[in-house]
Amino acid sequence: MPEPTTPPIVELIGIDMHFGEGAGESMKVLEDINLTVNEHDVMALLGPSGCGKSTIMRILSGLIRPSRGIVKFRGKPLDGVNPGVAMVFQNFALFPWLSVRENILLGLENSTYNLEEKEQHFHKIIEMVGLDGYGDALPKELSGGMKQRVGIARALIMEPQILCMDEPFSALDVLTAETLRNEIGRIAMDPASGFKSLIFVTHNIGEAVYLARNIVVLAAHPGRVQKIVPNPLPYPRDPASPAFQQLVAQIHAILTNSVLHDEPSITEPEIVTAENPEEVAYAPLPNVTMGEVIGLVQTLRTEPESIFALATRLKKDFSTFLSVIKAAELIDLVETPGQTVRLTKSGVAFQQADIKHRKLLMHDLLLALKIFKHFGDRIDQSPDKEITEEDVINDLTQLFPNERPKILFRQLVGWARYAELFSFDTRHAMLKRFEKEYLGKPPASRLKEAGV
Amino acid sequence: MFVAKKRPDDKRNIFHGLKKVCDCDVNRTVRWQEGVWRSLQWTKLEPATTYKDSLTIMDLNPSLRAHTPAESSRSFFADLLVVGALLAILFGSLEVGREWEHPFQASVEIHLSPWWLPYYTLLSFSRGVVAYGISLLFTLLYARWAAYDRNAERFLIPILDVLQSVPFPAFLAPLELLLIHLVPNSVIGLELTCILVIFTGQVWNMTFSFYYSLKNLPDDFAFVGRLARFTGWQKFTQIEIPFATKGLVYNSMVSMAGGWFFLTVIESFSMGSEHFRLPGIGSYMVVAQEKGDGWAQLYAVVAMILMIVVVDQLIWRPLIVWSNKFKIEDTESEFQDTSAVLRWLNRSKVALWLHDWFKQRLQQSVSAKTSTATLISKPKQRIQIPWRFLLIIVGLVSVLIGAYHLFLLLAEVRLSEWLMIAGHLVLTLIRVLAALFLSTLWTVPVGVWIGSNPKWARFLMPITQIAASFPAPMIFPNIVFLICLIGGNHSLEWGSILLMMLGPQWYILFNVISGASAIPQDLRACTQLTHLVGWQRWRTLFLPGIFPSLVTGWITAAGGAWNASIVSEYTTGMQDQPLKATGLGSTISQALADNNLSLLAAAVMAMAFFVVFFNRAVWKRLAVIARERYQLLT
Repeated sequence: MPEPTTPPIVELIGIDMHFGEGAGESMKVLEDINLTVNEHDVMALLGPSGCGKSTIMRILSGLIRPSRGIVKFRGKPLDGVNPGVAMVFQNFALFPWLSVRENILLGLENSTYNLEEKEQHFHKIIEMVGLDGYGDALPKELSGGMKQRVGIARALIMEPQILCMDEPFSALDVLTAETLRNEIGRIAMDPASGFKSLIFVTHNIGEAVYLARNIVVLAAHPGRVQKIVPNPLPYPRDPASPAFQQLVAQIHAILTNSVLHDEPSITEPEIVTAENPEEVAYAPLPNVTMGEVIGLVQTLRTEPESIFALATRLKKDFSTFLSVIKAAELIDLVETPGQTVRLTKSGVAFQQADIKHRKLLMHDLLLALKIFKHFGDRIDQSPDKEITEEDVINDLTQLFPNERPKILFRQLVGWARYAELFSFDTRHAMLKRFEKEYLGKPPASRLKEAGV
Repeated sequence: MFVAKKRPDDKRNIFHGLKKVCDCDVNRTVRWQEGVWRSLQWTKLEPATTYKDSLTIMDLNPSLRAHTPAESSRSFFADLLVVGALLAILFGSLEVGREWEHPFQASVEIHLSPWWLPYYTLLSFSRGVVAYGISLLFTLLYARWAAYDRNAERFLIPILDVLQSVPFPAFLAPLELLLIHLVPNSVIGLELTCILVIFTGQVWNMTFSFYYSLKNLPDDFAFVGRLARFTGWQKFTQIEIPFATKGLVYNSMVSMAGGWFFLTVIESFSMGSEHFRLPGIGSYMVVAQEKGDGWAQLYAVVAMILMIVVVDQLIWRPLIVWSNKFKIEDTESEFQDTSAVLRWLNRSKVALWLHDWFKQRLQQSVSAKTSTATLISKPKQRIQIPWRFLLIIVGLVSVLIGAYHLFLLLAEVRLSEWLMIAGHLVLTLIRVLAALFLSTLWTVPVGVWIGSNPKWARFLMPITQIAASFPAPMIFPNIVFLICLIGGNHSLEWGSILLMMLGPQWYILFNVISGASAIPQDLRACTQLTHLVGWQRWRTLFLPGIFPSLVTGWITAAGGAWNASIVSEYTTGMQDQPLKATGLGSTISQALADNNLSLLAAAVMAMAFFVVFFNRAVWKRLAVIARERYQLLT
């Protein structure tokens, strides 16, 4: 807990962040982020993809400048790179031409230590992370877990005030991640490790509850703080204990709420007609493939099932799974009463239909979404009955300022292709209504039909 | 058996076709084959849609629709442009054709009025195009032979490597004599010489590119072709060409630029007392420089730059964007090339009609071939063996005759001359290395800076591309004049280093830029967070990070510098008297001017073999170190 005399290590005050400027690129990733990292804190940034977790960490370390807001380090506004931060990267960021030893010693390149002291530090750290004997190896000779140990050692040797870790275990296999997670827990508790606070980005709820004292749950589009959950469980924590499980469930509920039920900032407020309040307004399409949605529908039943239990059963990452459910709910295949999910009428119909009828059904369901209807109208009104990718992206940029239009566009095309709604010819970047193609017809006769 | 790992929803995906073949009834093979062939239509232009739906106007957001009415007129303009372009090509070719009918005249008069420039530019350009056509044909035949014939490959590829290192402009004069005698009383001999030398400046990297594409053709694609019973021609057009297109288009662009390099030298040169001159932008520049006409020189430079820009915009940019369709990997890059011209072409109904017409022709000929060639599966008669055998015999005989004559020529070279060649070789080597060093000195910081700032890169890349395509020897005399002003008449000894740099430095710059932009953001962030500054940052991050690209740049640039030594060590200043620097390049040029064939042969051979040796001994080793130690990919 913060001591009254020392200012917090880092404060983020009213941070906004925009990326890109040109059409089709611009997007708001963070909105009004306020965070305080105190001494002896272990903070987890948790949230679905696209919530700007990593961006927050990069702003905090001074690598990128926020579009608006202030970053304070020890009470003073930050200018340039944060002197108190060391970072561990998701993909290790080791220099392939330097040996393990040289990679680690990079952290001391600009320290005031003399050679002997550097040597002492190096030995202490390399022992702490279990890399003894690997000093002369090149990074490419190491396994993923060993590489990440080098990354951790390089950060620890700087004796940072805050150790930042950006999804440190997500590029590793499950067993290696588990081992390394335990060791980070041990190092975090070890006063000899030299850092004061730890802040890490994760999308794994168990990982956050296992390590963190404070869990910052973020919401996406644009990224903002949903809730900060303190975690009072004593170390070392036991993932099997009821208290641990209860906290995990609590965070699941917060995440589910933020993804599935907290609509106002996600949907386009523009037109919800008075006669038909049920009508779905312009809602962005979650970054999910049709295949995933169909897979979900196939596993579901009409009686409600707990979302959390289902995610565990399907071994799906929870926040990804939430996006799939959100997509299915948007299409009106499932509904989500409380923390559960079940099939709707059209969901049941879809589940029982064969491939042809599934496509027909999906065709109608998608047309009920405003975004598809909008582009259908645009196509019909254009003189050539087709619109360019540019036009679509321009529209998307205006309709969804908080989304990345190009990704949204791919999404739109992917869904529309499945439903035989639109066809998109990547080579000419033209979107038009889908027609069945006839294999045997020579191009000239098609041209005649087109009236050329 | 085959996993459709490419985009499954792409109708024309190659695996889609395969699946059909596998599922089908054997009797219907022809139809399926047709289907496969159609599914392999990489180059399909979709006609305008026939969808006639009711026009329900429910304007939700009128502001979004402001630009739609323009689209139909855009298509009309596009049609106009396409028709205009076709007419321009037609009349251009007629004009060029007339030029070829002229009776022989060793040295035509060049008019310095700027009104003649478009005509001269067109002539020079047409030489480049013809040479490119020959290069393409050579590439397709040679690379395919090398890729599929294991025995031939063993000597074809090393030969290509040596040929690549031969400074061909040195052979201008002997070739000239030969061709003038072959085609007497016509300008064709002179034109052919010119075209052949341009060809030697274009062809090698194209051939290597196609060869490597064929060698890297994934087995899956070859299997698809085999299962669909493709004929050799179908395999070539449907699998090999699409797979190689990207590399081929890119290298064609580089080649075309490389072909211009010796333009001034090949359009206007003298041997002994004889002067040869062909109408063209290169000789225009030479005459302008001889007469000291500053304005004409400026016009020529502007015309050259305009030609480069126009060719880039009208031909290469559309081709590159179009060739992106043949990308095999699934990822879409951040930077997407765009081409306004290609967009217009896609809008034009005339272009669409032409495209469909050609495609239909092609399709008919292929269908006709398939039905006869593969269905009646008669045992293949191997009639190609005698051909190959004959070819080898002819090749061997001509090599033997050539070697005998070369031996006779070389026998005339005295020991003192060999020693002089060796000494001059060392001097030129020093100049080449100095030119590389100086180029590296400025291109590395600039390239790293550009590569680290994507916004600037987008803006600066086209400009550097134009600078790189500009044939530097065109302005050599002007630069020599400046050098002589500063350092007197002997200053070419060091000044030629500057001349040598002018072309090749851009290769280094390009490679440094692409290397720097490939350095991962995380590594940059890491150096920032460990507070590395200045030299520390260069030592740990930038220099090792760009090293592999730098080596590639060096190799290309060194080849260019050796070739350029011929013109940069021996050049005319603003006066008639040629200026010389002591070196192998000037030895070659001097031998050429004196019509001393034996010395020429000796010097050219010495250069070619030394360049190959240096490649093996130094550059290849550096490339291996770069790959093993400094490759960024994990």
